[in-house]
Amino acid sequence: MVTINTNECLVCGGCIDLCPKTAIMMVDDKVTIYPEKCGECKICVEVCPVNAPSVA
Amino acid sequence: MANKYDVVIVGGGPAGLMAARTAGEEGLKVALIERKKDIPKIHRTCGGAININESSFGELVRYDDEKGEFNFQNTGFTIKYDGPYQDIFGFQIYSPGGKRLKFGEFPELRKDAKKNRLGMAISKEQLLRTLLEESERLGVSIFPNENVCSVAKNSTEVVVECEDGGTFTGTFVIAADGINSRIARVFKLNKERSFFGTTRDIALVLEGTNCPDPDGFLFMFTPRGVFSMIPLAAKNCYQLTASLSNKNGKLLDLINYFLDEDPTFSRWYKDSKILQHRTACVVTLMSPLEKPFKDNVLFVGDACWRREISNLGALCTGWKAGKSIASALKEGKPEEEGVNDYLDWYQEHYYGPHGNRKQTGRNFLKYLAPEDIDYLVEMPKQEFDQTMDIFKVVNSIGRTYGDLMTRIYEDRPDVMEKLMKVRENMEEDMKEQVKCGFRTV
Repeated sequence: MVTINTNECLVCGGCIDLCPKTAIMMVDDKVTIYPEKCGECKICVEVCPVNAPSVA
Repeated sequence: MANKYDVVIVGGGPAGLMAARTAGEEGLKVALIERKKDIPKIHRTCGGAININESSFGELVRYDDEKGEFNFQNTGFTIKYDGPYQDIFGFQIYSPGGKRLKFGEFPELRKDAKKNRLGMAISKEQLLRTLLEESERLGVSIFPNENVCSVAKNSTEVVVECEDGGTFTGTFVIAADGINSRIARVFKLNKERSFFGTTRDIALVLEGTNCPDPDGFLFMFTPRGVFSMIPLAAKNCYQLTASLSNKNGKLLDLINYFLDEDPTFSRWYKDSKILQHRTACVVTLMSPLEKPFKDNVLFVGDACWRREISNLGALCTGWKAGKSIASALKEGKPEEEGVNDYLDWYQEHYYGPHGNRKQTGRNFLKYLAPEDIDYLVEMPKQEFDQTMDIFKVVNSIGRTYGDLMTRIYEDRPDVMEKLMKVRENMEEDMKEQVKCGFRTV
C-alpha cells in the first residue's frame, strides 16, 4: 500500500496531477491517497521531489 | 437546477480567477471549483512575477505606482495590487566559473528603475486574493476543497463531477487546471502534443545574497545541474530553485550542495538566511495545444501551454475566455462558433508566433567541461539587449553564437568538437530525457 508522509509532503500536487487512477486528492490542503482507487503503479513515489510517498 | 451554470471554471490560479472575475462582470452565472481549501495560498514553486514594460504574447502591461494597479494596455483590463514587490530587470545566464551573459546592464538600469524594469516580483497570493474577493462580490459561486474527477459533455452541456459526489453543469467549462492539466488528459488532447520529459523542482527562500545583480531571472549552469534564482515580493528575499529531468537525483541534496559547496556560487549565500518556506513542483514538458477547445471546454493558462506563458499569459487567456464565452452566450451560440474570437486571438498571439517552437535536447553540461562553458560565455563582446522574454533570449544567443562559430573553430577546435557532439547527440539525449519522464496521455 502506498502512503504519504505528510511531514515531508510540500503539497506541490505533482502526484495528484500525474496519478493515472485519479487516486490522490487534496483534502483540507493535505495530499491524501484513496487506497481503494490506487493501482500501485508507484508513479507518485518516483515523481515526488521530496520522496514523501512510499510503499508499505 | 441549483448546480447549472453558464460557465464552470476548474482551477483557481491566475487564469481561472481572471476568467471568473471577467465572466462575473459580464453577468454570467459562474462557478469556480478549486482543490485547495485556501484558494490564493501558493503551495508549489512559482515565480510570482508580472512582466511589465515589454510586449509579451501581444500584451503590454504597465504598473501605476500611485493607484497601485496593473494596467493591461491592449486587452484593457486592470488588476489592483498595492502589496510589496521587487523590481526585475532581465535575464542573466551564468557559466560554472561565474562568467555571465547579461541581458542589460543592471546597475545602469536600476538608476531609473520605474522606467527600466521589465518585471515585478509580487505576492501572487495577494493578487489572487484580490481576484477571488472581486469574483465573489460579482456573484461568482466559489467551491474550494473540491477535487474534480471527471469532465464530460452530454448533448447540451458539460458535466463536471467532483470526488465527494458534487456535480456541476455548465454550458461551457473553462479548464484552468494548470501545467499538468488533468482535463487535457481525459479529453485525449495530450496525444497530439510532443512530450519532452518531466522536470521536478525544489525551491528555497533566502533572505539576503552576495550575488552582484540579483534583481533578475538568473540561471546558473554548473557541472551538477542548472539552478535558477529570482527575486520575491518581500524586500531582499529570493527564491533559489534546483531542477532535475531524471528520476534518480536527490533534489534536496542538490540544492544544499549549491548553497554550501559549489566552488563559484556558494559564496553568494555565505551570509544568507534560509527561511523556513520550502516548495516543490512537477512539470510535464509538452508542446502547447494547437487548438485549446474541445466539447465546449476552453483551455487557458498553463493548461494549454507551458510555464513560459507566465502570469501575464495566464491572466490574459483567462480574461479573453471569460469575454468570449459571455459574447457566445449573448449571441445565442453556445458552441465552438461562439468562441471563435478566442481561438483566433490565441492563434494570433500565442500558438502562431510561439507554438511550433521545438524543444531541443541540447545537453551542454554532458559534453562540455566547466572551463569550456566559461570560455564560450566570455566570448561575446557586447552585452545582449535587455529582455524578460525567454523567446528573445534564445534567439539572441543563437544569433550571437552562430556568428562566433568560425572563431571558436579557429581558436578552440577542441571546444568546437564538443559542440558538434552536443548537436549530434541531440536526439539521443532528448530520448533519454523523455524516457525519464512521465507521459500523461
